[in-house]
Amino acid sequence: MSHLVIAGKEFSSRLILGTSRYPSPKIMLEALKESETEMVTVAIRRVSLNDSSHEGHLKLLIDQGLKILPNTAGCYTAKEAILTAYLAREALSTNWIKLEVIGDDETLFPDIPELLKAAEKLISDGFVVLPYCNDDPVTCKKLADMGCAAVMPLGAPIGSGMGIRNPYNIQIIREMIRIPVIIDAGVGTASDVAIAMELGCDGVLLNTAIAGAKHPVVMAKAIRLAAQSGRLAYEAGRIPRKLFANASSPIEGLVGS
Amino acid sequence: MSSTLRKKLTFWVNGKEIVSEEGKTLLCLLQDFSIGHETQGVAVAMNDEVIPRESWEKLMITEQARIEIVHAVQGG
Repeated sequence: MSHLVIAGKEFSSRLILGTSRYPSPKIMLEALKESETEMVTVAIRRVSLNDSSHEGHLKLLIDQGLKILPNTAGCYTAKEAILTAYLAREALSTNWIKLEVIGDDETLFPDIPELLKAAEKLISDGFVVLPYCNDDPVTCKKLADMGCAAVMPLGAPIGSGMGIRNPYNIQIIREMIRIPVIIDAGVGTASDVAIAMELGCDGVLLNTAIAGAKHPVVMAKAIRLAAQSGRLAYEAGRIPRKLFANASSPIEGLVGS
Repeated sequence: MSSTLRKKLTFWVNGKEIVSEEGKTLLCLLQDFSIGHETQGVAVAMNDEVIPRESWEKLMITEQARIEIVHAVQGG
């Protein structure tokens, strides 16, 4: 099975996992290990001025050898997202950023004009930009042409678990774009990951589907296997869909013919 | 009499107003919150500009400065 390559860095796992909402740090680490992910997302937030422990769970993740991908979650303007990306680069010594610019707090859909503005600025400042975006081929094309390292269209709203709501758009995006296409958001269970991979996506970024499952570690395993089987199916090349039957057994030599 | 009093400096840290004596460096402020050069995973911005670690010691906090001190937390 081929590997995922983003901005020249090779990953043997096609899963990028969030680190939020796990029942405990211990379960988070077990789930991350079971998933075999090599890159995890973190958010950038103000430190608590009354608390002297500032390194939090970051060290746990770094100790596992995981690549840390900071996000700009919670930003509603290009200006906020750009500042958050600069802070993330300073705090974590990485120029990789999962760029999120949210346009609406109920759906958490991205604000595309602000996203494009932020992406352009951060790319010009040397960032490896992985933008969370709509499942819109035109937006994805613009982000790719601009120099983003990947495009990360949503499958469904963040945390909704609704799966891949518009597989045809995802397929069009895959056809139109040469850089990695990573489904970001919407995954509810393993089959959603398999579908994303069968559509030709290069990877899947997810959090709640594992962290919020009844048994996160077991779900992490299911999702790892789904990503692998989905990718294998894509590389194997599925048969075309047909409306009518096409017998598998030979029609020659039928009894009584 | 008032000329002998040290001037006060008002600024904002993570949205909280702080009144301090004039002539405070950023590093001095950070140390008040147990953050030093060795603290990993922390970044600081003053008036929307990221201040690199090596400048913490030299940079004086200005009147009405808006300071953000951030770190990485679990996120999706």
